[in-house]
Amino acid sequence: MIEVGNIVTLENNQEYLILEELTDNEHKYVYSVRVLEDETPTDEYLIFESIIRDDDEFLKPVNDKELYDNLIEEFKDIVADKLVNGDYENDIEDIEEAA
Amino acid sequence: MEQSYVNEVIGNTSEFCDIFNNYEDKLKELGEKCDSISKEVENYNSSVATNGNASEQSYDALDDDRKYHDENGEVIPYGLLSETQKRGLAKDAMFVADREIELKDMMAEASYEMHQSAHKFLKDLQDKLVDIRRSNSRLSALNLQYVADMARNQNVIDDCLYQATKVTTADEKREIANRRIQALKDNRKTELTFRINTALIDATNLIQSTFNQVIISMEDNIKNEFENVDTISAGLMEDKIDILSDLSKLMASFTKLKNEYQTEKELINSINEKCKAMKKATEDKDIKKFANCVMKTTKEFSNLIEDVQKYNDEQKVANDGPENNGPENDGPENDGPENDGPENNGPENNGPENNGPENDEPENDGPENNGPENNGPENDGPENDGPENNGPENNGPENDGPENDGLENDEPEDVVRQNQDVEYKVNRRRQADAAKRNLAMAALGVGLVAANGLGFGVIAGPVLSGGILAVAGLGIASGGMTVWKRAAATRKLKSIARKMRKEGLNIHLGEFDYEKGTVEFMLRTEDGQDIPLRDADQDPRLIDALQDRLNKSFRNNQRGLKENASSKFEIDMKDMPKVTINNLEAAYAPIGGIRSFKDDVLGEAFSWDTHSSLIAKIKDSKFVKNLRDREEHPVDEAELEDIIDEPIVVEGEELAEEEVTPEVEEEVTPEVEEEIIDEEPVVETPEQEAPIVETPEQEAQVVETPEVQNAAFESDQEDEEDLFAELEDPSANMDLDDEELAALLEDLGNADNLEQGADEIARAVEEEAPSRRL
Repeated sequence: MIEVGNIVTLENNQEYLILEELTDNEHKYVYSVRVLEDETPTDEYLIFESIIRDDDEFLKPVNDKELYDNLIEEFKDIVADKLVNGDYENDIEDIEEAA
Repeated sequence: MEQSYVNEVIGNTSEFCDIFNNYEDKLKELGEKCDSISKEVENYNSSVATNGNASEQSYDALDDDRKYHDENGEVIPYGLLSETQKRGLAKDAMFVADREIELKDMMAEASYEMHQSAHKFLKDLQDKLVDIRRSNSRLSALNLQYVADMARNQNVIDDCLYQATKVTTADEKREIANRRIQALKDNRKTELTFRINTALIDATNLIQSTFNQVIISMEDNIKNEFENVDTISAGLMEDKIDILSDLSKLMASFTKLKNEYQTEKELINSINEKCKAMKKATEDKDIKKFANCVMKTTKEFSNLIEDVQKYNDEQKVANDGPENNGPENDGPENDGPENDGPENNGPENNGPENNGPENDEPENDGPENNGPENNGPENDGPENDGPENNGPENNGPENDGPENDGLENDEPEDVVRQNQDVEYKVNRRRQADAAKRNLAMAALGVGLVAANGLGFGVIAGPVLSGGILAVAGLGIASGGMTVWKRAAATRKLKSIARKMRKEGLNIHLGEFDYEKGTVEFMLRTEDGQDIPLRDADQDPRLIDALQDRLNKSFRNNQRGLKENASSKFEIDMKDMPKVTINNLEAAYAPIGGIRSFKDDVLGEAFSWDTHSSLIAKIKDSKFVKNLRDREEHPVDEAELEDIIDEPIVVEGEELAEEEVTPEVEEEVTPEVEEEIIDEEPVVETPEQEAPIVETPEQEAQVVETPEVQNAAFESDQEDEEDLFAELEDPSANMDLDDEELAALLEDLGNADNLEQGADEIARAVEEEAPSRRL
């Protein structure tokens, strides 16, 4: 099962880092960023629908704009929540140290 | 593009009115048909009255004892009648039956037509309503784009202030001022359009509700009459119901339909007039007129919809009563003798049949439902089970959709890639490197918050104080996280306001108050004014609803804020991070967190690439190199103390004067360089900070770095302050014409010297974010 923090390799050989996930109407969606071979994140952010079929996992890009807009709002709320709650505190500190 | 959206919204609304108005012709036609049938029935009745003997006798003879009563009163058994007499009687009877059937047929046809046309009428209205909703949604989406545009422009505006601290020449300052003014103008223009569109959306929403009410009301009130078509048909078949009863029902149906139409007509025409006015304003490209129309419409319809709802509630109460009590059912339809029978009081009016047609109404089958129904099951439905590849499903229309071309066919990616809705199989997954993941996570946080225009250094947080809503800062204090957290908190507040608006509570988030460090919820009045919620004449339910949302969103129960409701959480601006070589982001904090720019153009700070390139750019800056260089050459403490004991103040002053511009800094003599190095630990070590702040000389020394420059901007430059205050004030008139712009630039250009010019811009930075002071 795909989890936040996983890097998944798709059948087109592209790799995505799963950043956040949410469930809406019994569909699971993940917010991800494409990463390079060395796992460096790019600026290609995508929302996928995560589908499990016959023990296989599939990621389907969300192309419906209305749905996408709704989902991005949800993801933003989740991130905002986490920021407010300090869940990203360590991450940010890491960044600051890196900088 | 945008105009086409506006036109679409107005056009659809107008078309709705047209559909409504066009039905008047149909009603007229139906009315004529009903009148014609009435006349036919009247003629038939008078014909029966005049020439009725034969017919009546025919019926007597045939229906009763099969005996014939002749003109002399003699009774002749049917069997004794001549063949000619028998044929005459049969013909008379046939004529009566045929004519009645013919009339009933006409009535059934008219009733059916009435039913069908009303049905179609309501369905057309419903369809158009869907179009209105869709166009309105598109306009809403466009408006969201405007919000993003404004956020981006705001980034430019903010960044100009920062950039201004970096430049020294008048040309550069002028260019930055120009860029900033342009961004302010752009934003003002966008905001105006945004506000008008928002008002149009609000107006259209209200109109939609009104239309919806009209449809519901008409449906409710004429649906019972639709049943008459069945009654008339049944009567025709059974030949039991009196023709006058049928006629009465037909006429009652028509009267009701017509009355309903007339009731709503005034409302629809009123809407139509407003649409025409808006349409004309857009055609004339008169934005002021258009805005006025929209605002007026919004206000009027806000009132109107309340009236309509009140009226409907009253009607509902009135309608609910009679069904139970009975007497109201003796209304006009019951006046005639035909209505004395059970038909009018019986199940037709309040029986279960009435529930039937509601469920069958076409609205439920409208286009909105068609979309998701078709898309949903195809993905996870039986198509994936295999056999459908060979079975008929692939030939059927359902399989024409893109979903069916994908994974059901076990063919590889070649097929898959032809489809936009492709699903990619996950071949492998692994845990990300923690550091890389952190980077992406943080970028996500920055991106989601800053890219949405929330990175303005806005601070917010809600608590209730003594029952009156006051909004103060959420207690956030932790280094570099501050801005992002604040932005996130603001986002939450905006989200709350947005959700409340969806519930019909016109709540918005006000402007950030930099002095108080707070932001308040505002109540938007009918005339578009924003009033702080605490000053507004509040509905207690509004406050409760808002408080509930705040509690839920911020988990105040857990934080113990609710119990401590009288507390007011002020933002502590001192928590803003200090800019150090290891915390370069802090320099950007007051103007909105991490930004990204490529080729000097600000973009959304959405990716780590741009983020890191920004940091790299800062690291490569002269300031940082200089700072790092000093850091790598630690100063002998004893030597420093010695220097401080010396009358270094005077030297510092001189140094500051010399080092106002970077050029001077480069040309500084070795002795001066030494002095700078000596001062370096003062910036980095907290122990040294206090004495430095106290001595003006040290302030002057700090001017050499962009951050420290801020400390030097305390001097009075009232004119320039006003100038920038005007630029800062979003309510100020930003419609600068060329002359004003030229004057503005001249003001900037006429600064006594370059340092003064830099000061005035940097002071604006300072005013915007006082906490940047070191």
